[in-house]
Amino acid sequence: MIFCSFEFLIFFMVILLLTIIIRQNKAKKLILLAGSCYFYAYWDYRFLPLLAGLSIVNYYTGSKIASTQVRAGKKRWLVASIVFDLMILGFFKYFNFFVGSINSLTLSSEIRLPSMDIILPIGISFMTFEVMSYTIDIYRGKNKPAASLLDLSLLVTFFPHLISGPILKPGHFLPQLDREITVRWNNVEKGTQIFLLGMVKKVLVADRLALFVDPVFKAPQDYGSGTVWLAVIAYAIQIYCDFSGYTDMAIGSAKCLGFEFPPNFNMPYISKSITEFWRRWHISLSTWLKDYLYIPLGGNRKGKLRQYMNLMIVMLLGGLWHGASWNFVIWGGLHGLGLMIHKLYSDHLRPRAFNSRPYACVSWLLTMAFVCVAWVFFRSTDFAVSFIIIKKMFLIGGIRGITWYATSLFVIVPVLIISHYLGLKLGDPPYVRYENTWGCFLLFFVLLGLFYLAPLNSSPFIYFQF
Amino acid sequence: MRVLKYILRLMAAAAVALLVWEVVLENCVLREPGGNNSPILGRIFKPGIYLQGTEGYCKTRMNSLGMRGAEILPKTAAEYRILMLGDSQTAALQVSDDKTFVHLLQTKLARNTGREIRTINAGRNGASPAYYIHLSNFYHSFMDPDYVIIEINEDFITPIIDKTREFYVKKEGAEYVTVANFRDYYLWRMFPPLKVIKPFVAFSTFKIALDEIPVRWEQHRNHGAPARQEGTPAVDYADVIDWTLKTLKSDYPEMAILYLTLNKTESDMEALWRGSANKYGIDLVNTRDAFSGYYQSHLQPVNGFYNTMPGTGHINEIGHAILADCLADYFMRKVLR
Repeated sequence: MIFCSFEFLIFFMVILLLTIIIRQNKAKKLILLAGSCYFYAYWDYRFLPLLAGLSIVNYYTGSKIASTQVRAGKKRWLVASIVFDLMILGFFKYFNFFVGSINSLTLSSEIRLPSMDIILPIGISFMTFEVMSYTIDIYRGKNKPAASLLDLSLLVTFFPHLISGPILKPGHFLPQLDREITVRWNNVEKGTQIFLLGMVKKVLVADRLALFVDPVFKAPQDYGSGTVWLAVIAYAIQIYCDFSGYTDMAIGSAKCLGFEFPPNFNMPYISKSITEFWRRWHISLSTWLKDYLYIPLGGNRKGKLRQYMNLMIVMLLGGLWHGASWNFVIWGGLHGLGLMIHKLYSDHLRPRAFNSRPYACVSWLLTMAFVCVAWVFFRSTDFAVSFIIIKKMFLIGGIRGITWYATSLFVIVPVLIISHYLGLKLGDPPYVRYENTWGCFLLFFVLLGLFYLAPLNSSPFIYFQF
Repeated sequence: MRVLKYILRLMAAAAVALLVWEVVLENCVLREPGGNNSPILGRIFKPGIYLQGTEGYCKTRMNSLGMRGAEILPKTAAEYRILMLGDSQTAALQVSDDKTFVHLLQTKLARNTGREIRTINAGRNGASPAYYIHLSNFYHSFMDPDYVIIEINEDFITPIIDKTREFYVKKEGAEYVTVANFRDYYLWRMFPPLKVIKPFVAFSTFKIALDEIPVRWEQHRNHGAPARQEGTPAVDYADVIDWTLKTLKSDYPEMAILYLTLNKTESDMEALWRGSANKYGIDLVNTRDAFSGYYQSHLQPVNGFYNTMPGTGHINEIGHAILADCLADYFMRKVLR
């Protein structure tokens, strides 16, 4: 079930109604849990035991970590939980990748490792990271264990963030379950508006750009350099609007039910460095990687060289988290390299006086160009396609080909620039009240616009695959 | 009372939102703002309206016969009149008036021969040879053509026998006949009581909604697969093609076929059309070599637009220029020499 579907609308109305009608808090939680399981089972019910397994094992180990007094004992339970979570992730997501990689390395050998037909459970990467942070935080003394298995199960399965995040921190979400779950009218007003904004991003921007991006990435050799550049820029916008649109819908639907999710994006394409980009892009993932990988590796505490290495390791693993493919590893590696170079530049080379507007413009342009080039590896199906695109972009070996200046891009880019500018100026977005005619008009206007302007063939959310 | 007030406010807001969208759609997005029912031609575009295709960027004015371009005047004595029959590729609502192959052909022939040449674009969206056969008397009496070019493309066989079209071919005993299937809007057929909303269909907002809801619902039911084609029984294609060309030749003795194809090699269906055309002595102007030659040398496709996808959909300005060259060459070599 996806957010922008009729089924979800019905499903959500039922859940919202039940949450309003039912008075007992525990019953509300049970309804949310049952609803979340239904939401997931709508895709594939066979993976519900996996969700249950993740919840039960981590609840048990979390309780054990909290109750064990000896540090070594706590550590043993932590290691057990992390090994279990990583085994689940590794088996479902990376087994065939590693088998394939080993087989390709030993091409001359007679021995071939067998691969398996494993279905990747959607949202597995998000779920495993959440339960890992749950046990790690208990071990670190940052959090208490969940009050009940029901609470932890809700952290894992709560439908707004179940499939594509944002990655919730237990310390942020579990306290919300301790309070009474209350549906308030002003939350519903704000929530629906955030949801609709996400839907506009997804349906009107991302899906429309997909009609341009997909054919070019499918056969880049047929297109001219200018068109390939435009397609790469369009993909940068598409993935942002697709993913941040999904996040907005998740945040909006959670808000309607009385839950607060942290923001996951903060206008990433205004960044003037790669470091800034990662503070604004997929914030829940970058924060997770910083808290649970970069800092444990030593962060910036063990010297500059080690810091650069840590950045690279974190980004390589972050790339691999996105998908079991060397293309994602390269994408992560490029960002690691970008972070290292920026750190090196900031530490040693950057003249302090360079804060002028032209300097900011050049920084932005370089950052955008770098991010766009890296997206090529993220989007391409394999290296061969990536290299064709890179060669076309940098005018190596023939620039001729079909010229296609997609109209959608020329409409969307100015809209995006204006909305980013307004976002910068306004800070928090303004909300309208449905009590007044102006608010109702805007609601109907957006709903009708989604109907009239949406492309007929909607694309699936890009981040579902992760 | 408060609830009633709120409901009224909601309705007012919805009405204003619809009104704003009506203005937006009418001026920027709208594709086909309805039509009229003609007792002879069936459903045609309203006279005098401007149409904007979903592909390309141009707006086209419709004449009183629901065809693009100016009104058709009586033929003058010196005039040599060429009638172009075809589907949306000939109507070419995606291309501006002065760039269609029909217009370009007129200009080229007039320049090359020095004669008064007039081409009439009778292209019609969704048309097939069944239309041209059924309406041959009308075209002869109303337009009096000296020569007729009939555009046929790769997938024309399905529309010929498609029972949901306004004109289609069916077999009665051993003979084929054309049938006029003047239909009301499909929604009224499915749900007759809904006819009460008929006056609203003139509005773009309602028109698009009524058009798209069934499509989206069908897609939803088929999990994104295109809606299935109804009313297309299994038939002997060779037989239908043979009958179609035989009848066309007898209805329009002075005619040639413009065969539109973007395929690199000849398909089975194309071979059938070619075979039957040879059999009945019909000239067939095939576009394959011209189209593929242009792509090989310029790397630009002859169909598709910036707001759709190059290489897909209708013929673009480049393709129309090539078509005009092909036809001008044909006329100069075989018809007007």
